[in-house]
Amino acid sequence: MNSFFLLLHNIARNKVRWFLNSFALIVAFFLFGFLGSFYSAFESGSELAANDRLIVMNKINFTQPLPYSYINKVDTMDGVKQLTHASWFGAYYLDPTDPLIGYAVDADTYLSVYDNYVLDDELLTNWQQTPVGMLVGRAMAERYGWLIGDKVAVSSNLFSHKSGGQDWEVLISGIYDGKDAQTDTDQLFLHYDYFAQTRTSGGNTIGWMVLNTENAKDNDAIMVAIDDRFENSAAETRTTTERQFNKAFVEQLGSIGLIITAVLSAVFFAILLVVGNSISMTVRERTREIGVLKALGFSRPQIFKLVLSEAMFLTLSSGTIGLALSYFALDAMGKIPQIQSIVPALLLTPSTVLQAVVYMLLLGGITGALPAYRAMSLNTVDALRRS
Amino acid sequence: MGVDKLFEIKSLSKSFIKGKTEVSIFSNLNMDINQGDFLAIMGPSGSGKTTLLNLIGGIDKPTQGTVLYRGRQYHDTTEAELSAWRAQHVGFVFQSFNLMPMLSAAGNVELPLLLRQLTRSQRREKVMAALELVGLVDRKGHKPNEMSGGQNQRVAVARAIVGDPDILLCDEPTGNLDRETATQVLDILRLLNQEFKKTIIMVTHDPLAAQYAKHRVELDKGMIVNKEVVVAKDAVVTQEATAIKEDTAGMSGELVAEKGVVT
Repeated sequence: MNSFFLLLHNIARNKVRWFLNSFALIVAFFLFGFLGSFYSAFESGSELAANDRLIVMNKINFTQPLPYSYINKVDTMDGVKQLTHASWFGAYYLDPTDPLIGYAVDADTYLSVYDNYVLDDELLTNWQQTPVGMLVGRAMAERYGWLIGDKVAVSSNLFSHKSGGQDWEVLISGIYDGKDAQTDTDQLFLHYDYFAQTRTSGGNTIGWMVLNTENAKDNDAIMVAIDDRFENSAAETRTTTERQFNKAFVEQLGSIGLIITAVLSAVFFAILLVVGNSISMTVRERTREIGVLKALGFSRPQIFKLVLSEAMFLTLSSGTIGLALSYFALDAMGKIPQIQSIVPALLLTPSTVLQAVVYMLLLGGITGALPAYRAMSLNTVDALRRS
Repeated sequence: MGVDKLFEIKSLSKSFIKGKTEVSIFSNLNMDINQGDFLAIMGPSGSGKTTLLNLIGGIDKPTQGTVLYRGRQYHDTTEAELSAWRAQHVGFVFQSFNLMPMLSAAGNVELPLLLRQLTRSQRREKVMAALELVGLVDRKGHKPNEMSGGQNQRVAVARAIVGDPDILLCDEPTGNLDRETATQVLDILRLLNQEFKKTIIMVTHDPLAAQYAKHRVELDKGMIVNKEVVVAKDAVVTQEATAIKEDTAGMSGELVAEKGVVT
């Protein structure tokens, strides 16, 4: 036996109480890991978005198109380094109820602006030089078992093909990876030219433009200049940073962060009271034993450490189990295609783990400190008299 | 050969406040306790026996006066120093055993050793020696609720001696035991005193227990009313305990019981 086993014996002496406390903590940290990661995955799009990447879209909203002619007008403005454009394709593959994220883009410039997509130069050239070529992300390619060279028909739920129907025959000419785990690889990209020439509606329009600036410090001025340039035109623009754009998109779904924070705060506050009360009760029940330990020569700091360690062990062990469960749950959920299309990189991030460990230590410290102090301060003679 | 004074109790007073009244347990108590003594402190309830024992053991502080251990006042040291002193020099045996219910006999005996810088095997060796001395090696894995009162008290004695302290402070060690098991525990105490030279201070109501002591002090209303030398009654030592004495004769002060036959 050593001090650790003494600690374990003390915790496990009332198995029902131990189980209930552990269970409450496991649930709390499972929720923390799960909801926290879900939220950060949800937000990762906006977090990853470069702050010097600007989006120019129709002032009405981003579903309204912009004239194709705007591309050249914006590209030649001062401070614009690189420009590309994209249009929402409204893609699905075989199953119209399972929408995919798909865009028609300018293949020559798109990956220069979005440098977080990793693709071999040879494959990039292959895609750029194949008019019916389609670039897909690794996750989507694996989901459908697509390989480079495969001919597939992707469909649109918004546009019709000139030849009839809503299918576009494409040749998979590249599969890209993400620079990091948060990069969405569950997307597809068609050539804009192929799309524009074969669709029956939409005319000479694009969805929106994305541009890099020479210097992020000039962003505000460039944004104003672009919007001023098209003021009072048929299609007025609204220019924002990509980060703002993504945040606004996410926030349309409600203040998820606030809801998650409120739920977790309530859970942790309840846990704090329950576990704190439980540890205090355990110490009260053991008053006489603490008196014996003091009589045997255990010092005040040793008694304090013993009780505090029990609280710490309880929160750290249960919290770790809760986090581990959230890891497996996130891993399982991340493999569901419907979830992937909303939150592409659903995983337990190191920052969530770190935050959770800090909360475990805080929870252990707060719930254990007062009982530990009381135990330490017990008068040995009084404690020994306690029945 | 001179006799070493282990404790010198000088003008010792202890009182506590109850409501607005100061209640004196004893005042101006003076006595010496020699090294190797087996002292029985007797007296009616409320006479201050346990309080005196607690003061000697350093778990209570006097209101006035001093208790010297080997000439050194120890009550005015820090609590950490007092704890360390207890861990090194004092073993406690309580009337109600005070064993940890979730620990086995071996686990309970090992508790004081957690305060020492010892390896696991060193601790185990000492635990087994202490359990062997009280004749409970075969019960080492049993928890307190799986043993009789007598066995629990022997585990408590093993816990008190495992760290090889100089002094054993026993508060009514036979108070919860029947005559037969009380005798077994008292035999062990006598053995520890006679063979291992432990100084034993025992609070008791039990005249039989007092007969095991070398000296007897009687307290009443906070005063020493009687001091006497007890005539040794070897006849009360059981045959088994005698066997231990023979087997352990010549051992050093370190507790290394070879055989445990007291059951």
